Amino acid sequence: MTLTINNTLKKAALVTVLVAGASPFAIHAALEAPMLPGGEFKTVVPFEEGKDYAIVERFRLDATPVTNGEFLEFVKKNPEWQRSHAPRLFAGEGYLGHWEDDTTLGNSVKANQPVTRVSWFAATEYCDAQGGRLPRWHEWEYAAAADEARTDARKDPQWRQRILAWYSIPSNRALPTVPYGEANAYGIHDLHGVMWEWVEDYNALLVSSDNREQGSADNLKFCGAGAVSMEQKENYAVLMRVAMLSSLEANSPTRDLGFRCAYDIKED
Amino acid sequence: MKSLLNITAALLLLLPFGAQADYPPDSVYQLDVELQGHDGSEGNIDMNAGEPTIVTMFYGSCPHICPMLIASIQQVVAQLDEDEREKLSVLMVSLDAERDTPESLAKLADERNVDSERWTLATADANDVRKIAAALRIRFRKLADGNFNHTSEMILLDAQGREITRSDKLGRPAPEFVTAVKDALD
Repeated sequence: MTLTINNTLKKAALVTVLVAGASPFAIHAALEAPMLPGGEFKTVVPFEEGKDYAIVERFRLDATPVTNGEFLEFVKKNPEWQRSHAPRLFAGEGYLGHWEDDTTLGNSVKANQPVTRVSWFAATEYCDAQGGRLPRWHEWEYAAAADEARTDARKDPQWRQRILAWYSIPSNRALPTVPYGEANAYGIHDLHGVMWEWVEDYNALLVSSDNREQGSADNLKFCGAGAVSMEQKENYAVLMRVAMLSSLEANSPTRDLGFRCAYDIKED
Repeated sequence: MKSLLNITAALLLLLPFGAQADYPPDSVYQLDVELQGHDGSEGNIDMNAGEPTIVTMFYGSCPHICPMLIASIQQVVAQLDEDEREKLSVLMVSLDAERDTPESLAKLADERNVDSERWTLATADANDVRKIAAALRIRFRKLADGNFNHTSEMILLDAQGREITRSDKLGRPAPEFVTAVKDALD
């Protein structure tokens, strides 16, 4: 039995090497995007009434957010995503607005700071070019539940307090270079404390109108079971993310909003 | 001629998702997706370019709201005169990439007395669905039981694919929306 597993592992390792040899993007995915095992996960945003968990499949996630330097390489290869070319539908006012021009970061922007002011469309296309995709909300939440030692630290009030403290830092400071904080138990850095991040299904996070404006629920807006009702109110920091994401449109570039990519794990 | 081709090729390189060249910067028709219509047709999101179109997203097995959505658009159409009716297209894109098929949508179109001359009920793969919803600012979520939560909006696009207005009022249509449709057709 052990032998079989070892053989499978060797085979998997060999496949990784072969794929990595074929494409520079795969090296990034294989070396810098740790695998997360997934499973049943208690979420603050159940997508179904009466359930408080989500099923997360095994996946890989970039250890660090995508940086200005990495995104610059992408727009050099894909000029249609440079800020003077990308149409408003895909990249609204302010897209990459902190850069000096289409293909120059400029003196005030560091290559290893996370890229921000990117639209969902641009982030989606970037990840697609790396052979990945944006992480889904439940994947992001699952990865972000970990602290340095535990895969789910959310019950610890001290840890909750620590991530909440970030939200009181004025947002006009320059973003740190990444990796900034220590890796969490999965080997992922900076899910908290640095920036906001796009998720693939940002537009699944419809916060019901009675959450936003009490007493004027317009249930006809939603087909089926109504909007997200947010659970675990004590996880305030994560709920703030949900509220923020639910307010975005796909072409909105936002200060301090960046992304990282996730990768499906192909079964043999 | 050759240089013209080169210029065209160069322009195409500058468009995200390989979208087509001649739409305005905020046009939804810049998306490049693959749709399959209930009538067996295949096309891009701009299949109705050149005429005003009401676009919406729904799913075939939706028990209540989606039939209401179809009926609501039919009520808008009912308030048009015949000339106007012949100029308006309707595109309903399914959110349910797994269960809806051109065949199942053809059946639905039949059951709901949809005018297949002017209406297309279409499917797309899950990635394209996500992009179309993002471009149309429609929010949706797939539930574990296979159903969807989604915002039900009728979106009026001009001939170039730019949004003129939208309405989430189902049942008897909002008079402003009907007026906007008539204005777009005149």
